[in-house]
Amino acid sequence: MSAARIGDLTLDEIRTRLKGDGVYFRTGPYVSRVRSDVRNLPESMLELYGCYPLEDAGAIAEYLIEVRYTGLWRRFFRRQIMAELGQPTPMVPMAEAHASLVLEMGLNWSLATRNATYLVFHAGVAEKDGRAVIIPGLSGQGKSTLSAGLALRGWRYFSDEFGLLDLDSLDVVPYPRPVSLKNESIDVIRAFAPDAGVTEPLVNTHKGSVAYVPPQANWIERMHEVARPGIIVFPHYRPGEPPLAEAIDPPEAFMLCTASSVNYDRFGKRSFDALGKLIETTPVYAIYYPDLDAGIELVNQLSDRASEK
Amino acid sequence: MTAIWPNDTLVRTLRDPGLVTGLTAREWTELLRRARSSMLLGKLARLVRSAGLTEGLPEAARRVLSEADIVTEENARMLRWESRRIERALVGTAIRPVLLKGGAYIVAGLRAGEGRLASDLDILVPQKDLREVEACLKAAGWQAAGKTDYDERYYREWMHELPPMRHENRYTTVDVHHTILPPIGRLHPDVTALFASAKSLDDDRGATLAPTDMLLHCAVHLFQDSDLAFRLRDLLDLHELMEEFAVVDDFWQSLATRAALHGLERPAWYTLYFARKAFGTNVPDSAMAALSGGQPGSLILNLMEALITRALPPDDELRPVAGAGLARWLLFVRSHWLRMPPLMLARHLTVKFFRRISTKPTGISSQ
Repeated sequence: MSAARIGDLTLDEIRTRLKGDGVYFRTGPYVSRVRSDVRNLPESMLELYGCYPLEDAGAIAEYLIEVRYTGLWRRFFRRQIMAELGQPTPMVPMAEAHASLVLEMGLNWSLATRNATYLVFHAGVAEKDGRAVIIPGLSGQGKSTLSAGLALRGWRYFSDEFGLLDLDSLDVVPYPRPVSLKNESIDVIRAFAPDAGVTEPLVNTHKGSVAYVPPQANWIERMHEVARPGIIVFPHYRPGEPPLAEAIDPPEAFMLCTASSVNYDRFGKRSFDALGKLIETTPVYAIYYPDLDAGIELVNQLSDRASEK
Repeated sequence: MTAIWPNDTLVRTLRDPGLVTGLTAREWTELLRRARSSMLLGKLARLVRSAGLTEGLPEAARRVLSEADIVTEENARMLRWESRRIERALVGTAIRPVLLKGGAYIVAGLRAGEGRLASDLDILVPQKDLREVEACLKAAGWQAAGKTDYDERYYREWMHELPPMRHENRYTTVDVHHTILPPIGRLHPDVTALFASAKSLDDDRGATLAPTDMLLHCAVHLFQDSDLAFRLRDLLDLHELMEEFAVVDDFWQSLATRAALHGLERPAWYTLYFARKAFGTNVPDSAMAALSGGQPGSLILNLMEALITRALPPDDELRPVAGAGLARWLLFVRSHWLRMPPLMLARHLTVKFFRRISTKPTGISSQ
């Protein structure tokens, strides 16, 4: 990749671009464009997206996001901002200090509601030896922490939030964005990988404390490399209990995956066929683990076992 | 060269899809954004595909257009299914609802329905059957979605439809109309004639208005009943309906006769004039002449043309058009003026204004 990175720009240069035509960056298959006149967003961009190659306006941006103050008054007093996506959203104004969160939530919402190319799961995804582990789960169930943990222990990070599955080839496609950690997970990952660059937490958000792990350079460099599905793992964090892995039967696995999919109903029969093929060829487990190391160990074992077959 | 349509990029591209081959990436980003905001991505996708241009497109453009195909196909599938569900809800009654607008185009398989997004189904039933229809729909799971007593009154007494009914499980919406314009407005189309000429679709798919009535309904919906802001899609609908229906020899004469019957010559004239101007619809001069009863004076026409050309398309940030905001505001006032007697209008706007400033914003935060 020969393009300069966002991190190569100065804060002022980022600010100028944000106020002008926008900052363009690529996450997996998609180029996004961010525009904003919010004071602290340039810092957030630098912190979260510094490693991303800078696309210029020679790229077609599919996901467009503007982060703006909610009114003239709110630009100066009890500053409030909001993401504008060119579509209705359920999001409410948030404090200026939470600009990173507004940006990330806005990008998440766009992808989740608009994507009609891939079968999208609420899932963390990581890859090793050409095989992906897909970790579905709702917010707060541990998928972000586990996928971050795997990525910081030798796996290649695809996403902490959205698993993209090609409906025809069943390739799993990277969509790397900053890892979002909440509350206890922040300290867990900090202790787990002190050099990971976990950002200073945003406090008092509606989700509690939120911090980010900016993606590492090689995850971004390799974000065009897809993987085959290896295993699907439903995580259950159970402090104090012994680690355990249970295979899930295909019919139940199918239903669980449907429930984890954001746009299953979008493709009609193609969704059904694709998911069916996925379940037939990919072992599905529920894992119960008392801590992150144990969870990672279980994933490694299950993944090794699956690739032996 | 001014950017006002018909020189507007989106309008020109819809008219001549071959223009996409010359777009820069920046122009693509803006074109796709504008098409999406006008709900025209599906149409653009279809036009580009029909012109055989898909293969040569940049990958991202190809993907966005392909997504539009998938989304509109899903939407059409849902609507066709919902249309059957409505029929089922009315089994045992003698009521045959007439499908209106986008739902009609899609279920009837018209070209205007291809690539079109329609968020809900609109049906027309005789006024005397309203209570029964509402009861049947409620029994089948649809709930009236009126927000306050004022809303309920607004719809039932003054407008031409029940409050929208939303299905409790599927969240799909049905709008039940008993005529095509608000009864308190100035124009009163002949509803009996609408029902008398309604056509049944084969395969038990339901019924739609006759072609001339369908066109007039769309025309009236755009030029009489709406504020025209950002409604480029409706004008494209009109263009596509005309192109499809006008293959019948006496279509234009029938249209003029029908427009006169319903007292809708003005919106009909505007339709022919503006569709031809934007999309080059093949409207013969004799058709315009037959509707001359609806032609506005040159002062009004010049004013409407200045306003509509600015208000209809979405904003183009690469080629901004001056006065678009003002044009939209003026047409907004016009639309309410046309809808209601002035005193009622003043009262309506006042109620809405006070309600808006006293309501706290609500919303859920999500990922």
